Amino acid sequence: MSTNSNNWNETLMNDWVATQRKYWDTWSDFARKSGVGGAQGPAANPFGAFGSFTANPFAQNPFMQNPFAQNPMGGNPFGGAANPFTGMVEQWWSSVKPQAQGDIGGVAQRFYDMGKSFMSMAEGMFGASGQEQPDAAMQMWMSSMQAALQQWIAQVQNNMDLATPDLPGVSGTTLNTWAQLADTLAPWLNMSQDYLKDIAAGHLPGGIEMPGLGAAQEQFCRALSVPGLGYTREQQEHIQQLARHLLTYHEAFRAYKVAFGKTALASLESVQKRLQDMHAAGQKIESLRALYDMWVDASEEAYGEFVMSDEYQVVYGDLVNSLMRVRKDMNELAEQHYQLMNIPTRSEIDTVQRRQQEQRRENRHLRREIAEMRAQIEQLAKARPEAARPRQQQAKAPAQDRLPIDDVAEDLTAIKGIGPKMAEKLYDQGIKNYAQLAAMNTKFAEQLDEALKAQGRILRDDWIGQAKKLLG
Amino acid sequence: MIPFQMRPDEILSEARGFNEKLAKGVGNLMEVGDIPTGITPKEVVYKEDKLVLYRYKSEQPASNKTPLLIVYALVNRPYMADLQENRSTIRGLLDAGQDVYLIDWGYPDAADRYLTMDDYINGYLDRCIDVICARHGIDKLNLLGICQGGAFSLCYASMHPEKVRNLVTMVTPVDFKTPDNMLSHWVQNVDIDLLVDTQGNIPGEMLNWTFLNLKPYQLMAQKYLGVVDLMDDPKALKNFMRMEKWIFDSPDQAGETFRQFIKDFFQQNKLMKGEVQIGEYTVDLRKVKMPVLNVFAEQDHLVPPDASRALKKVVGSKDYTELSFPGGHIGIYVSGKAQKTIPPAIGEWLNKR
Repeated sequence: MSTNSNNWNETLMNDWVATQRKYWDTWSDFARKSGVGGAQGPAANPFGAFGSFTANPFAQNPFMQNPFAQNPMGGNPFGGAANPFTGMVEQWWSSVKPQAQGDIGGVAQRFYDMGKSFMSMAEGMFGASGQEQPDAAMQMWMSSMQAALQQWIAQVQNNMDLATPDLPGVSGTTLNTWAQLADTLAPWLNMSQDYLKDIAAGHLPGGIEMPGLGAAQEQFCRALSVPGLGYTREQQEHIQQLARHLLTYHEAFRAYKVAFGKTALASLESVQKRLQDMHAAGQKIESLRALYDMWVDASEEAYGEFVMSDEYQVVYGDLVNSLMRVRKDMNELAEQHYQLMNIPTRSEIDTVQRRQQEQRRENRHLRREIAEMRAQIEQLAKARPEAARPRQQQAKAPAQDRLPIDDVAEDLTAIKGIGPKMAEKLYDQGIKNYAQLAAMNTKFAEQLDEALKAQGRILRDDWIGQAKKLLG
Repeated sequence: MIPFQMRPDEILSEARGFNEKLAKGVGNLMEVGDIPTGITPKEVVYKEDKLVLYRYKSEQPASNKTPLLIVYALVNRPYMADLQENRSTIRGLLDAGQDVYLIDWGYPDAADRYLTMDDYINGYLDRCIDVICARHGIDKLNLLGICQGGAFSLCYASMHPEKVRNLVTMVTPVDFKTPDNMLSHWVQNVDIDLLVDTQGNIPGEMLNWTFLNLKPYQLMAQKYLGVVDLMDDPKALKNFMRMEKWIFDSPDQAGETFRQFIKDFFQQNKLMKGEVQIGEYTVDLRKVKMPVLNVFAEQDHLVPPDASRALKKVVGSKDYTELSFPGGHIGIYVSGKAQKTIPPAIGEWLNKR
């Protein structure tokens, strides 16, 4: 990579800087000659070559709405360049992109997106500032963004929209990313516009023909609910269900887009309001950067408010749920085919994995139980040679850690329930006096009981209590 | 009317300057080379499935004899806590005399989709704790949970209080239904069962996309504009790239764990109500009686501070301390100011207990 980037730096970079210089010099030159640069100069519009915004409202993002294109005055030194400011960023990017890969490529792409967005804002500003009444021109620029958004919302509502716009000020954001996300989750969804048309015409996948959508969606949905017949009945039903779910998904996406368009409008209003407030307070914006930052703040605020609304919660959930339903249908259809071909399916693998995980969990539990039981057995075993090495043993076995280490022998048969035989057994365990018996805890007593096969007598006859009494 | 005071030539000049900086900057970006992350030397102590338990090496022996285990969120990679030389919470904790361990959960794949919260908390986490305790010949250690890892640590401390000496939670959500919780607001109408049944594991991309959309203007655009000015400084650029790498390095989340975490915690707020069921246990935060230090960020857009503060009301501990930091969810690990104050404060708190 380093060789490549060195090359890029040495040659491409120099070329690029030279081109840039020439490019911007030409612009400045042009601005000067046509008087755009002077505050009192005659109005001129270098953006004559901008495409009409109605033609392609969301080529990049709504910043690009340029109302001045309608009334070109003077020539554009770059004739064919559609969006001269962003054009530069794009030109530069096309030389960088092949070199930018992996982690760095992803980051570079994000810089590029941001740069384009920032430059298109600069374009708008530049266009406005060249006008006879810059204030009015700015207003016009904003209004045209607003108009484009409204127009787009109307298109979405009439189901005529196919493209997705960005928020003004952010390139490659929410809606776009959502569409990409939907694609990564369900790659066939990007084909689904055509797919929907097919369905609307009544051509269902798998060669099934249905009555076409015609004008009324309701009727079509009813047609989709007609019970399937014959040998392929189950598959027909699946496909009908998929078609219904696809329609629901597109409805949900449409609702999401409309809601989203409204947020973009709210953001614009929020920007305008801030501008008014600043004006009223006598504050001034003196750089593109300051304008951009203000724009981001105002928009983020409007966005934040919208996404915390109940409306957003509903459209967001509907979108995720409807997408998942479609995907589920597709999975099921795919599995039907795999089964016919005797190929293992995801559900089958899921079953295996679930059982395997349950088994692993159970194994872990069992291993732990075995380890605990082993430890107990060891403790009990260690309790025996205590007489020989009492100090060490006492330290190691937690259940008897409170048992005093003492070789003083007393007559244990004084305790009810201990006969001579039992006393001997106790001596073997290292328990020779009342103090030791009195110091036993219940857990140890139970373990001892088990080791001595005393059948619960230790606790039942309360040897501990008896020993305590004998000690006074 | 419009308070914008720039002449066309000024606009041109700013646009030109920006364009040049951007191009040169991305030129420098291509020179950045490898972006190493996680700078403090560490050794592998234990491995299981995709999990790795690390112990961090310190130049001087730890003054605190009770080791500290860091539990990170499943959603992100843990190197945020050890990003670079002068920005490492882990280095700060070592310097404050702690013996630091950390669980790296790894990247789950489709075969891990049936890992439940029970598997993570009563399985993996519990076994890691046993390993550490056995190494040190102790019964209980200090536990530090971050974000989702904090919620896991709280659950653990409630189910196995005998193994936790002190608990530190950082930017940890407890009350998932505070009015300013955007993530929680978004997921309330999502059919999580349908999502997990269909999707299996939840792609990291999807989670990451969701997080970025909490503040799209700032996180997807403005942030990069700000960096354009720093791009001629290779060191600053490299630091930026480390953050960038971390932000987009999101492991997928095991489906079953996601199901329970979103349904029980986000949708039904069961942690607050003491109704979370994990394996054979019911998580009751009143059983968390060991000393608790709750650290949160005042401008956290992901885990609102109120979501963390709620712990005070429900925790059983009588030794409960809050430490708030004027910053964001990530700033608490990487800002210079946070580095100077937070790890030493945690260290001091632990050393006293």
